Amino acid sequence: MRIHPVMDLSAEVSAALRLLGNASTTEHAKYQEVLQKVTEDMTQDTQAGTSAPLPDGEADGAVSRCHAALATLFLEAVRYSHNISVITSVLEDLNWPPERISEATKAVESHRTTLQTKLASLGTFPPHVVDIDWKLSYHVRSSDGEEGGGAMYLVTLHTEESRGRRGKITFSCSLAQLTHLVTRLRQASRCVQKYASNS
Amino acid sequence: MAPVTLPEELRAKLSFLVTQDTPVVREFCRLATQYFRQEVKPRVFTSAATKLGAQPSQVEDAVQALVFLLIRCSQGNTTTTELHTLATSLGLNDDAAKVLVATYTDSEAEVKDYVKTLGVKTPQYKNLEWRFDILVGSRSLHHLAEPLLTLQLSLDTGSPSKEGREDEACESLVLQTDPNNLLHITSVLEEALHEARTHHSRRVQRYLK
Repeated sequence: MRIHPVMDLSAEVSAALRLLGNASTTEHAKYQEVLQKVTEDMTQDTQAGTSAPLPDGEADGAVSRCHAALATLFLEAVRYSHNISVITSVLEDLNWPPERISEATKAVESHRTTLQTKLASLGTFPPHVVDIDWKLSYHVRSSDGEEGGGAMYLVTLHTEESRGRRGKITFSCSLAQLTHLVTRLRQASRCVQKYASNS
Repeated sequence: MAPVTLPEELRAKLSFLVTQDTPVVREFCRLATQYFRQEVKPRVFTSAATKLGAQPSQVEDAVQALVFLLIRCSQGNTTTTELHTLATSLGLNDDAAKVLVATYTDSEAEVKDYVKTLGVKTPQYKNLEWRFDILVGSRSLHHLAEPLLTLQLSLDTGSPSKEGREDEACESLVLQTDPNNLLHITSVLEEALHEARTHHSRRVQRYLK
């Protein structure tokens, strides 16, 4: 059952958020502790299971549920680009006091870009070229008896893959081949710049 | 070009040919050129040896010596006259020497190709295709408008193309990049092109010629 159509939060998440926003069941200091923990967990590069323990709470796991619910809220807000007013209205519907709402929205806004980047890096994508190295050398002589192979470039593309892995692609090319490659890249650059200036 | 010198051991192996008739030498030459295309099966040597009343190892050694000779000659750009002189100096008769020279002329290109596959190999640039996309959204992030370039880089890996299958020697990689990095790598490679035209670079090239 979906409680909130705009944010599409599950009943479980909504219940936990209601609990977290309720001043009579969750004292303000505890709320702030959970908020800070959620912010840290989502913005830092910690691997699963290595982050600091959750704040102490009742043994029924309420704190952990609240933590998960708040994290879900934050991620969904960024995932669908919901602005402050949407988040505010969601939290108002869950009976949050204005003070807690403003603290939560402030946290989302200050980390929105980081979260966007993190979410964008999820999923599958081809290796992303981030840098390039080159070397120019003249082939003088080799064991195959070939003499004076001429100018040869050794080009290395540095790539980033999913989960932050780094890769390298190395190939050699002659002056003519490099000219071909640069021509192709210039074509692409011109195309991109044309669109950039039109928009 | 200096005349081809052969190690003593090789001369000894070739001496087996000297005692044979010209058609046999022709057959040996044919086997030697086969070496550059595919593996020669051991039973070929055994059956040849039985016909000639010799040891299979003698036949194999002689063929290998011929292979070595052809490689040496092609590396040294030996002329046909030089090879003819060399063959007769080994003790081959005029007809047999002519057979060897003919084999050399016919297979020179093939030998050169073969030798090239033995050299130092790095994947070689072949082609680059690009496509400009705007990423609109993904499962983890909606409502995007992110410009992206998908690149298809084809590399010639130079793996042995003995069977003549061109496609296998070519590797195709799909990559992506963003406009900023595209401009960056383009400008870095333009610098690389410029380097070849510098005074220093030209001087090194002139010196090596």
